[in-house]
Amino acid sequence: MAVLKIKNLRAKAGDNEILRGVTLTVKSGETHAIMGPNGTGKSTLASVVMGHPRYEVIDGSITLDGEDVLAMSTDERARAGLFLAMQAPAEVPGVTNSDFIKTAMNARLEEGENLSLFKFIRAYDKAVAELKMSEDLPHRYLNEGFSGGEKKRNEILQMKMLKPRIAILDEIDSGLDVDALKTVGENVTAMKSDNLGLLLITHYQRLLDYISADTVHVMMQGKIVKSGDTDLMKRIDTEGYDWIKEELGIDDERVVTEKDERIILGECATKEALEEK
Amino acid sequence: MNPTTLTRSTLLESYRHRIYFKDGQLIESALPEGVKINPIDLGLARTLVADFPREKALLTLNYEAKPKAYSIEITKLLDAKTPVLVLIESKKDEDAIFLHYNVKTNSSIKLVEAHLANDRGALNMVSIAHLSPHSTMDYVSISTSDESNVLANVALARVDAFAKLTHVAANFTKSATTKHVDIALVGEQAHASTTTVAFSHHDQETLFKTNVEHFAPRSEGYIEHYGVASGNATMIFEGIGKIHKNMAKSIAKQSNRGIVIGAHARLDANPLLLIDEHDVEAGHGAAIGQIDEDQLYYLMSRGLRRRDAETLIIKGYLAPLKKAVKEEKIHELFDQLLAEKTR
Repeated sequence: MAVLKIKNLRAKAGDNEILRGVTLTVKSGETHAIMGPNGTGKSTLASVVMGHPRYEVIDGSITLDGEDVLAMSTDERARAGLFLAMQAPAEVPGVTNSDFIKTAMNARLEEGENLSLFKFIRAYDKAVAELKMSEDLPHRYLNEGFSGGEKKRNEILQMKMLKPRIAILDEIDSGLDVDALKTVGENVTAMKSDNLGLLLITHYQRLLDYISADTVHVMMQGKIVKSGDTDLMKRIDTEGYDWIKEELGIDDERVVTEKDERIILGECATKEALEEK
Repeated sequence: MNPTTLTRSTLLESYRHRIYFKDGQLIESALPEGVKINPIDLGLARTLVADFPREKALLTLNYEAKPKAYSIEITKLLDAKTPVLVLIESKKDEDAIFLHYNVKTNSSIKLVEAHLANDRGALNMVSIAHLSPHSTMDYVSISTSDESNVLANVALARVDAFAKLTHVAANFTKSATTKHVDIALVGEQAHASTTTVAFSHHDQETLFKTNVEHFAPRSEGYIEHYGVASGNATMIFEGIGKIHKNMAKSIAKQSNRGIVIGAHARLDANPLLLIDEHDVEAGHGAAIGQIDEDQLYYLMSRGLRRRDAETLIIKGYLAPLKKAVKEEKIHELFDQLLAEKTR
């Protein structure tokens, strides 16, 4: 049984405070969804939980089974059982997909233990087939030249292999067509168990047609402003978010401006120039 | 097993067809049909170098060291399944070798040239490849050395019409190293791509200079440099793509990528394009820096320790080599030579 506890979490990127007091508990066996318009801090929350170096925690706490997550490095958090399926995973040229996953699985073993190559290949091939990915995937370089949909599926592939205890899926539905969304949904649903806590982050209700959630939270202004069950989901689906803003007297729900987003997602100029070539 | 012994034995085990030089002497040659080796006199070597279509030779053969000169003639289409190893090992204070690869019309060869400079060896190695019309050469070179020696390697190539040269150079030396690759595209639609992969550590000073010059229209030249510098090492990439007047529809491209580890290592890339014709396609770029933070974060978010994540990213630079050399044992060798550098 795993419990991820986020308490009054405040974090900033540069001078901009994005998370302004998030409190949320996810236990294994549960599926939570965080919804909300763009720029309200949903993805930042996911990144802060995983320990992205661009964010600085100002206040609050994150614990996993009582252990202080904020005191752990990103790799320690992963080995403790946290997983984040990223919105824009990095491309790593020259590193094959299978080598990467093998190394990640080996990192979880005790010293002296070794991953059985035969078992690994069998599990890997099975996961690739279940996600309807191309067979040359193991030999392709990590995310390099992958389409948006392939990157998303590759994140789920890693989740299948690494078997986390708490998984956060950050906009896993964006860039997926209906068929791909169905495949991803089926695979994630198949992983649901008493040993897995899920946190889904999404703009749209449509993801929840494929992966059902027990609880839904709405995020605005860097905080969870409303939580509820399927009724809340349905109402958001038909009416959008404006009624919540009205109810709570929120004028501008955003904490991340477009400028910030560019900085967060930006790349250095030479790198871009090289890719244009 | 020390790296030299390992490299020698792995190479000799992996290739059935081979030419083995030790301290300037030809020790062994086992060649497939269509490949012949013959000694040539130094006068001819001098003429071949002097005739190379370039204003000034970058670095010449050390004639003081009484170099041995050989011509290797390829007269058949040999596919990648029949690779030929040319192993050059040197322990002498001064050792100089000149090789002329003569790839005849409609012939092809896959060649793996390895330089092993050990003990106090100082190896000066010059090769010149002539690719006749419609020939192809798949040319991989692997250089290793101990800390105490010097390696100076010049690879010249003259590529004629419709011929194609693919050159991949791997540098795992531990000492001062200079490598010049100089390619002249002299016939229409001549094609050359040259990839250098280099790792420098400790106090190594290394220079990699690649020059591709277009003397014919519709010729294509591609330069790629991949480098990793750590410790107090300095590494310099100089790439020049030069298209002469009237050599229309030619393509000259170049990219430089590098990772600098620590505060004291230095890696400079100086890409140059010299274009004297407007109807061409040309471009260059350089991306040199620390290990990409986003890549590190991503790998670490899957549980890889920082050190393992860094090693994996650096290992990614071996990819062009592994693509160029199919032999599984050589891949392992590359990994081990890299591990020597990164541990």
